[in-house]
Amino acid sequence: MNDITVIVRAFADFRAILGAQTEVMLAPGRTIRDLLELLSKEHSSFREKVFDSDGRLSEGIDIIINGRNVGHTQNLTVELQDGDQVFFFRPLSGG
Amino acid sequence: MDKFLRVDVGHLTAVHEPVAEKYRKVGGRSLIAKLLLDEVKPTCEPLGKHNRLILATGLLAGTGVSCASRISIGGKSPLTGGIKESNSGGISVDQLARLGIKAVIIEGAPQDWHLLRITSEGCSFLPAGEYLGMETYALCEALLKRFPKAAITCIGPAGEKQYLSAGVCHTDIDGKPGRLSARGGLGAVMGAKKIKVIVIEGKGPVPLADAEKFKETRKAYTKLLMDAPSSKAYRDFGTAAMVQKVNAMGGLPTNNFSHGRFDRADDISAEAMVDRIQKRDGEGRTTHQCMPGCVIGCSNVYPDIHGKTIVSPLEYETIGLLGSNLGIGDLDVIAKVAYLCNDMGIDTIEVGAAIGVAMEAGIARFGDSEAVFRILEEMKQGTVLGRVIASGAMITGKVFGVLNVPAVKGQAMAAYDPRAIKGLGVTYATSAMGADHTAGHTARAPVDHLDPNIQAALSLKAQKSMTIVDCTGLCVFTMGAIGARLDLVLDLLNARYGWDLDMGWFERMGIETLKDEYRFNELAGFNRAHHRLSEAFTERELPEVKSVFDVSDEDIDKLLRYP
Repeated sequence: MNDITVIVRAFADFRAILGAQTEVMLAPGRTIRDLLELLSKEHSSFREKVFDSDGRLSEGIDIIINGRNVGHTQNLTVELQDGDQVFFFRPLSGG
Repeated sequence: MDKFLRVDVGHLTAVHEPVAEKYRKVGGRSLIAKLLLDEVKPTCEPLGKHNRLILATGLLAGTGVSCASRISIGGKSPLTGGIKESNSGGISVDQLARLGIKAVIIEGAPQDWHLLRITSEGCSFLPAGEYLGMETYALCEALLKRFPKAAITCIGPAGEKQYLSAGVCHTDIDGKPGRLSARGGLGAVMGAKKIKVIVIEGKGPVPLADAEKFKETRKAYTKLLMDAPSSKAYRDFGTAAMVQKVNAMGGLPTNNFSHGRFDRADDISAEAMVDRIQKRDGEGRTTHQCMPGCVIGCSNVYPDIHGKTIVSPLEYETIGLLGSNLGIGDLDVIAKVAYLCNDMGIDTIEVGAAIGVAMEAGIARFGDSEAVFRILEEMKQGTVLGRVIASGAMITGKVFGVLNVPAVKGQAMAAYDPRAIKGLGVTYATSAMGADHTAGHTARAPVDHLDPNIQAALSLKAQKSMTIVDCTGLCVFTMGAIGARLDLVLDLLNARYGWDLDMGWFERMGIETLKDEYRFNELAGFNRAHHRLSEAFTERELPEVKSVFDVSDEDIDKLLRYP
C-alpha cells in the first residue's frame, strides 16, 4: 500500500520547533504515537515538550485530529488516515 | 478587622459595619451570593431601588499574592433577571482590601449623580456633574489627574443609559479602564444607583495572622506559578491562543454561530497578533499585567501601524465574538471595536453576539466592518437600533425575529460553540449566571469534547473549581499551575486569617455557593425551561463537527441537584 500523508499544524511554542505547517509521510496503519516519535527523532526539543520522563504524553500538549481532542483520551492509539490534519496546542483556555 | 462599607445613595450615607460571622469565611462571588440572598428580594426590579450593587474582595485580596486580586461585582442582573457576579482584573480590589474593606454594598434610590470616594478617612459623595456623559478613557485620565494614586471603578455612557449589556470598568496598572466586569448588565445597575465613579485610595499592608507561614507559602506558590508551562504560554500568546484551538475543534463562532470554523482564523490568531505587535513595535506589548504582582502577564497591548496603542487587552472572547462571529478577519478592526466598547463601557461578548444576530436578520452583511462601526455609533447616540443591540443578543433576536440566538437565560454565549465543546454547553445551561464560560470552563480538559455522556460531570467539576478562584480572588489562569496544589491556597488562607480550614472546605464552599446562586434564581422565578439550550443548538447541526448539543436533559437536571 502507498504511504499516507498527514498535515501537521503547530501553534504557540510548538511552531518554533516544527514550523507552522508541514506534511509528513507515514506508512499505512501508523498511529498518532508513531507520528510523535517520528517528529521527536527529527526535533529533540519536541520530545521534551511532548513526553514526560516516563515516556507518557505530557500534560503540556493538546492534540486535535479532525476536530477531536485525541491526545489524552485514546492513549495515542488513533490510526492516522491519509489527509488527516493534526494540530498541536498548549492546553489553555480563554478569558 | 475587615468590614463592610454600606452606602445608601438615597440618604447619602456611608457607614462601616462589622462582618457577621456567616460572611467571614467567604469572599468574592460566594460572598455576593449570600448577601444577595439575605438582602435582595429575588423578584425585585433589577434597576429599581431594592436591588444592591456589591463590590466584593476575594479572600486573598491585597496580600501581595500573585494573581489574587480580582474584583467581583454583584447584583441582580437586568439582563438575565437572575443572580450575577461579574469578575475582572484591575487594581480596584487591591486598594479596597488595603483599606480593610471586604465589600461595598450600594443600596437605595438616588436623587442625583455622584462620585464615590473611598479612602482611609472614610467615604464621601462628590458631585459627578462634570463627568456625566464622559467615555471611560477620558474620564479616567481626568480623574487620575485629580486623584493620582487612586484605583478607579466607573461606568461609561452605556451604564448611564442603563443599557442591559453595560459593564463596570476598572483601571489597570497603567490607569487605563480596559478591565471590565462586563457581563450581565451590572453597569446598568451602577447607573441606576447614579454612581458614575468609585475612587478607591488604599495603601499599606493587610494584616496576616501568621506572617512567616504566609510569606513562606507565598514564595512556593509564586515559584510554582512562574515555572508552569501554562503560565509561559499565557505570557507568550495570551488568551488569543484559543482562536486556532477552538477553530480546530470546530467550535469557533462564525457568522452568528452558523459555523464552527472561520476561513480567516489565521488572520485573527494569537500567532498573527504577536507577529504584528512585534513588527509594529512602539507601545505594543505581547505581555502585560492587569494587576500588581501578576507573574503570568496574559494581557497585551495591541498597537496600530504607527506603534500607538489601539486597545489593551485584546482577548480571545472579544476576537471570537467581534471577529469570526461577525465574519471579520482583521485584528485592527476588532481592536478598534473593542476599544470603542471599553470606552462606552459595554460587554464585547454581548455586543458581538447581538450584532451577529442582527446580521443574520439582514441589518448588515457578515464581514461588513463599517456597519459594525455605524452600529456602535448608534449605541453611543442612543438610537432605537443602538438601544436594541445594547439590550443584548436575546432581545435583538426577538425584535428582528431571529431564532438562532446564542444565549441562555438572556445572556450571550462566549466564543465556544456548545455543539463542539459540549461541557461548556452544560455550563451555559446550568450556571445561575446564564451562558457564562467563566462559570465552568471545560475546553481545557483533556477529554473528547464531543462525547455527550461525560460532559455534565466535567462541567460540574469545572463549576466547583471556578468557585474556588472566584471566592479567593484568584485568576483562573493560575489553575494550570496550582490546580493540583490547592494545599498552598489553603495554607495561604489559614495563615492570612488564623483559620484551620481543611481541604474539604473547597468542596463544601463550592457546593454551597452554587446552591445559594441556584436558590436565588429559583426564588426569582427560574424553572427547568431556563436550564436548557434552545433548539438552535439542540436541533441545528454544526456542520464542522456534524453534531448538535445532545447532552441529555436528565444529565443536566441531575447536575442541578449538585451531587
